[in-house]
Amino acid sequence: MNVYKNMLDIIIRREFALLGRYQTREILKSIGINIDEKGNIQNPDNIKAEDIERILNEFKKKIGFISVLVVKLPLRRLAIQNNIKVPRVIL
Amino acid sequence: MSENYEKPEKLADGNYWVGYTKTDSALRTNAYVIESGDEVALIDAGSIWFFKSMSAQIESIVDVNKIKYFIQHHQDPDLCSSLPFWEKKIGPRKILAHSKANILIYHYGVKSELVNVDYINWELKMPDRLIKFIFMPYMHSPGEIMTYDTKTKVLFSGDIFGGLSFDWHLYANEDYFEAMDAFMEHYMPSKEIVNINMKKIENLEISMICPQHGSIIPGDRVKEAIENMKNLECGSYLYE
Repeated sequence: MNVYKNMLDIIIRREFALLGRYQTREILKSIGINIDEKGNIQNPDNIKAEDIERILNEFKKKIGFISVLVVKLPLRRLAIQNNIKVPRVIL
Repeated sequence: MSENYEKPEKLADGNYWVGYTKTDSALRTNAYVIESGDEVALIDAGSIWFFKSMSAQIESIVDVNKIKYFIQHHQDPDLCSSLPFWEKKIGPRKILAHSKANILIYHYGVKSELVNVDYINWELKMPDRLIKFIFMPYMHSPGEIMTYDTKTKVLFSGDIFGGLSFDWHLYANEDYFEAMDAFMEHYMPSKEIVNINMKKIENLEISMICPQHGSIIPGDRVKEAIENMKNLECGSYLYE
């Protein structure tokens, strides 16, 4: 199981709800993460810890703190459950 | 792409949505009107910021001088800060809220009579319908209530079932429950409290849920929305 892929799934679902599907896909595309309109990720096994940091920072830069707030609790929970580092931007 | 509603939306017999859509905030505010005979109740009067536009919306459907009641689901400024402006426009009326909310609503400097719904048998008789109030303590305020129109079966739910989204739609879209979780998980205190309170509405006949933030949940998704709330992971800040 790739925990970082699961983290990205959460980010996609929450940003879809916050921003709409089009804007979410555009922001991800701008940093080289391609997803389809249902939120399926291209190359999901390649997602790494640094990608999650990069993605969260990009949403924060383009949208503001609220795009981080909406993913903060489920991502923290997942990180703690899997004994991995909590991404710095949601500490 | 957010929907823009310039006019009030009729939801059911005597029930109207009168929110405000032109805002950059992800936390949009909805207000609702119950019109019954010669009486009008305004539910969650709204923020100072939107008073002008919201009052214009309301004036387009009812004579605002017929507003007899302000029903306030709790005491926060996003739903109460316009009350002094309303009083300036139409004079003092009756503010209906839980006693634990009214004790704080007083501090907005309001002159209206503060009517505690917990002291009037949790109900309000309007000319053609009975309005019931449902106590939802700590979700998120200690004096939180919901309002149920027994005639139309519409449940006005205050913050509960509210959502956080820039991509606003009047009626909940396929992504709405994620928007709801994103808001609720920060504001709801614990799964135990949520589940105790959800029991009070899970057997109620509900035609739609109308929250103060986010989108209206239509009748065919009400059960799913309640189940979603019961499974909400919340209260996490205790463990930080």
